[in-house]
Amino acid sequence: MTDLPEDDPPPATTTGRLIAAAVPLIVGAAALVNSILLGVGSLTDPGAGLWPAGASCLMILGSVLLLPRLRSMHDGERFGGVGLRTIGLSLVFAGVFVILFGGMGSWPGTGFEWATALMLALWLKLIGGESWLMTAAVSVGVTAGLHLLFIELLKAPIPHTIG
Amino acid sequence: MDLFDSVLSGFEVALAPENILWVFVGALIGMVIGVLPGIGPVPTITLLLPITYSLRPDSAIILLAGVYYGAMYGGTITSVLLKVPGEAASVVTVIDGYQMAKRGRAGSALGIAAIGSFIGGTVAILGLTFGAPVLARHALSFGPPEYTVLALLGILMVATLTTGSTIKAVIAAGAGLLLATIGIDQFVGVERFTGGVLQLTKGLDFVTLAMGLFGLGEIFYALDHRSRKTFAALPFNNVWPSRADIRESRWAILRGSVLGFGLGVLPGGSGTLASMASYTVERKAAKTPQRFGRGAIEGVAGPETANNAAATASFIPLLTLGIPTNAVMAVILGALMLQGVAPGPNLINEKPEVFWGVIDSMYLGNVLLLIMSIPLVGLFVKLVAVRESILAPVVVAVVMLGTYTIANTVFDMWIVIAFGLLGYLMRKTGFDPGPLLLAFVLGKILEESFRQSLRIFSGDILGFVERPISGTLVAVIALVAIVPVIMRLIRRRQPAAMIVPPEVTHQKEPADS
Repeated sequence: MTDLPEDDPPPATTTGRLIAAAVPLIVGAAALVNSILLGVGSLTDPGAGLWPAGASCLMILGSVLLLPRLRSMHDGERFGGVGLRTIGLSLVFAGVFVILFGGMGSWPGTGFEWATALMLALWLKLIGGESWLMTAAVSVGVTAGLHLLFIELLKAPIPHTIG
Repeated sequence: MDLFDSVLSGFEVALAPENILWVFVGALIGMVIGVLPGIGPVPTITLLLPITYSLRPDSAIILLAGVYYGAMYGGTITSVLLKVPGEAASVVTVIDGYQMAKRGRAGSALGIAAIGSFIGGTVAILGLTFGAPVLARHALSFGPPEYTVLALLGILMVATLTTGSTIKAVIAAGAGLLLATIGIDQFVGVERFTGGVLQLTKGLDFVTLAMGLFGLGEIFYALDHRSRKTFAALPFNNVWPSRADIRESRWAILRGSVLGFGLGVLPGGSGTLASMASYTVERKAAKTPQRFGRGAIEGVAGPETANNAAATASFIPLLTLGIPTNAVMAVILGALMLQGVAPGPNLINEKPEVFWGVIDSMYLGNVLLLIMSIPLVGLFVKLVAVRESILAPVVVAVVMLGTYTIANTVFDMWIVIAFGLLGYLMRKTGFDPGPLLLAFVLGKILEESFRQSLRIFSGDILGFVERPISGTLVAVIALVAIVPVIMRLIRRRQPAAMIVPPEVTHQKEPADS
């Protein structure tokens, strides 16, 4: 066990692990309540809620077993500021892409080329910190490549503005 | 048609010029993504789904299978030369492989890995050729109760054999089962967990789930680890092991083949697990275990053989029972369904060209990989230099567009983003997304056959135990539940036997478990 990657982030805090165990517990409990409301029925005549109730119990059981072990477990990673900023930006850019691509109902989408080029440019510049030249070259080049792949080659029914 | 004729007819399919092309393309793509850290076989195969629509079923699965075992080959190269496992199944190869490279034996390490992979893969294909038809014949008599117990066993074993925490795998599996119930209940016609959202009434598509959890999720996770140093590859010369190397590692290769095959057939057994188990076995079997961690060739040969054997063997339960045993097989199951082919015991009779064509193409694929891997090493090393910050948005764009083409709805793209975030959070908090995806896929089979069984038994749950096959499987479930407890007791008695520290096992892992 000598040479292992040294850049591993620090392990999760106990609070972090507590949240990681509490969330499935809450989700499981909420799903159980909903399943019971759906009607569990009986074994001879199972209702719509019987199966989901079983699955919810599995989640609840697992989370309950996890709680007392929190201190002895050593998996999970701590969330870092830089990482969170990167993921946050990534989510925003992916969202911008979908909004531009499909519109929001009130206005029509722009076609995938503009959405793709813009998303790539934002990402490369703001997350990747690439030079303007690199940003322009990659975003235009990749968009052209995707156009060739999806529209020309696969004839996929994707809304597009070019071609 | 006897076995010999069937195998021959399979070669006719596999050796058709266009299928040779697809094996080649699949194996090459697999090797490339195996080299690139941050992209595993699951999102790649999922991304290729839209392309496979236009192919014949045999070509489609031949291509996708090639990606899977190609990835097993590719991951090795970066493990040895750069100390960066390209994918989960090569994590343990880093330990001795990189040490060998530092001592100027990179060529030997890569060569023995390629040869071991070839042998392991071939042994597993032989097992598949002879074992699968037998299993399929027996499975013909399976009814809903057997499938219920089988699917349950599958989920349980995935949780037991996971490379991470068992309890967390159980929670993830529970979540997967719940997600599978979203939509209209087929038996009663009631909407479940849709929250009144119209698009959810038809249920979640496994493609969006896989794209989100494994495609976007892994990209987000990789971005989080971006602070990595630049890679400098160690030099390597002739990529061919010496006769002494082969002599030293022949038993490791043999043991790896058998172990990998056995673990690959089991539900939850994956290339990742097989490689880790093989490393442990080799260390135990060695006369001088202290060499391990300092460049022992068996530490490369065994695991690399085992992960390829396991990858191939995991096709057995899928092709004969219709039960996927890991996340990659779940996606390939989806690919078959999209083609209108229902995998299961009837596949071998109804679609022999798919069954035997895919199996026989693996022989070809393994030969191609052996030939390609050695001259292409230099190229692959350069590939790793592609920055993740450039790769990430390109993958995101492809994932989103690929998702759109599945059902032509923008709604699915939002679902993918949501599952991408979930996948990232799960990996970050030590939950393996593999069991979730697998339970999601098995959940539909499981619920349907469970409710059908209850009707057959008129509500008597003991009916599962009374039928011979399902009763036996119930006994196996009981065993699976008890064995880990015993294992844990044994492990507690000899803590030194744990060679792979848990931080490694849960972090780099499992695109494929």
